[in-house]
Amino acid sequence: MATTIEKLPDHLLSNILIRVPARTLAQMRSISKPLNALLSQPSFIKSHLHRSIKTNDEILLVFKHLYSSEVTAHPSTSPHLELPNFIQLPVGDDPSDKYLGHAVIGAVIGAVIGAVIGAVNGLICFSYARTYAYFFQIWNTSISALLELPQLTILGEFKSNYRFGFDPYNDDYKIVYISKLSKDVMLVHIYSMRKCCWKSVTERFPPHLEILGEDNVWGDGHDGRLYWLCCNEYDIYSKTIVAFDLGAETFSLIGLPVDNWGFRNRLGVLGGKLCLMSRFEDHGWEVWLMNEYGIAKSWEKHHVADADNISAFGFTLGNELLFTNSDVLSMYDPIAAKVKSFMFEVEPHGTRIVPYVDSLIIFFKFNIIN
Amino acid sequence: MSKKTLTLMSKDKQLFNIEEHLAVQSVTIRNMVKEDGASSVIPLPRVDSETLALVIEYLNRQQAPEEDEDYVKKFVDERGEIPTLLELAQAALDLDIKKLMDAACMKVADLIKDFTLEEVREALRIENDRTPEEEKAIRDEFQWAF
Repeated sequence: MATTIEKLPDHLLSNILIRVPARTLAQMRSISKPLNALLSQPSFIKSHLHRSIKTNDEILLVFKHLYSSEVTAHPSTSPHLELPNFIQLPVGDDPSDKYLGHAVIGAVIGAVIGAVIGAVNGLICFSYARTYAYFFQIWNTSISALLELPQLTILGEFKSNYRFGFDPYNDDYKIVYISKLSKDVMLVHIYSMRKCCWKSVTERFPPHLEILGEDNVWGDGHDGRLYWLCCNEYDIYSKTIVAFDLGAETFSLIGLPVDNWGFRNRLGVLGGKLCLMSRFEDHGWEVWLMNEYGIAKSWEKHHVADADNISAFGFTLGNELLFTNSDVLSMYDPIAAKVKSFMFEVEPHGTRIVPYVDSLIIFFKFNIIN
Repeated sequence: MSKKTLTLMSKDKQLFNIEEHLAVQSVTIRNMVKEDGASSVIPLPRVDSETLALVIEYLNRQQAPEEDEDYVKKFVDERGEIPTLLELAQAALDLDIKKLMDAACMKVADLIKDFTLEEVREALRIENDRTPEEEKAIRDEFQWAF
């Protein structure tokens, strides 16, 4: 039909290319300058990402131990299947320093321990500690690109918490690093992937609150906010939620359904809304959903289960519930009303499950190459 | 009541008749019909007659809605040649026939993802504007992707 070699219109070309996997597109950049320019356009990268989130069957990456690089990939339609050689963890240049390429369990002094601190839009953020210093890496799983962040050293901290999320207002990815120096002094540092640097911010973490364990929050950071579940000092009952707006870089407090809300809770995100998954001694567990963001009165009981051997992780991007049932990792599809088992056991605290998202998002300095 | 028929004219001036209620699956045609009643011939100056025949075959399908997805997939699978698929995708884009556009673009994407770079260049009619040195520099820059 096409007899002459006529250039394809950009509109047609981009409609085809948003359907091509990110890894293949990364290779295609070398084909020609105009093609590289098209593939580097922020609008193209965004359309490609939105389409892959909306259309691709969800694949879940399971990091089985907090400080280990053992990771397996499972399709959410049949999670008992393991996709062989699906991803390869990045390995450092120095062969003695294969912090993420090796299983690095245990906190031997001088050894390296790494953990997933967040995942959004196909980027997974790792932190690792080595001889009293913290390092961070951002990894694009689809195109195996790895960004090593400049080291941040904070003297005199005795407790720290760090999280990763997407700032849609500035189209940026950020790490928020909270370090506690003393009872009343908490410092906040932010790394911006767009600006490629750390900065300290004057905004204070609300005082007199203790951050509950880092695996008490699951799957945030997609909508421009990070959350922490907090209690009063010397207390174990969840008291309030601290939210951080990644665009405005401000903290705010969000109330729980009632004060002193039990002590076995996890925060998560379900269909874009904040949700709270809570275990109770006397009546199983419940899922609560915050219908209007920031309005404590809008908490609504969404789901109840009276099984006492269940522990909820959170919800997948496809709104399926991930949980352990007597330590066996499982997921529940509310539309088909069907439970699917991964057929293996995990440690409920210490396992990270993140979605694999096919994504071209790379570190901004690459985007200007033409 | 007899069904209203529209006449579409391809780039090479061939005429095709199609019932209006089927033709308006194309958002572009629907808008034209709304605007001027489209009593006369609708010219489609970017679509050649072979492609228009395919589009009309697709619009005339008698599929139950639940089988539609499978049908359109099979429809493009049977036209597995990339030049044909590109014409079809372009026509579906111009005429705004979403499912056909989706399926045709998806098929091309599926085919090219296993191609070598040279084959992709040929399939997508992209001119090689790089010197071998530049090509090597890009490969080195994006080494992680190869």
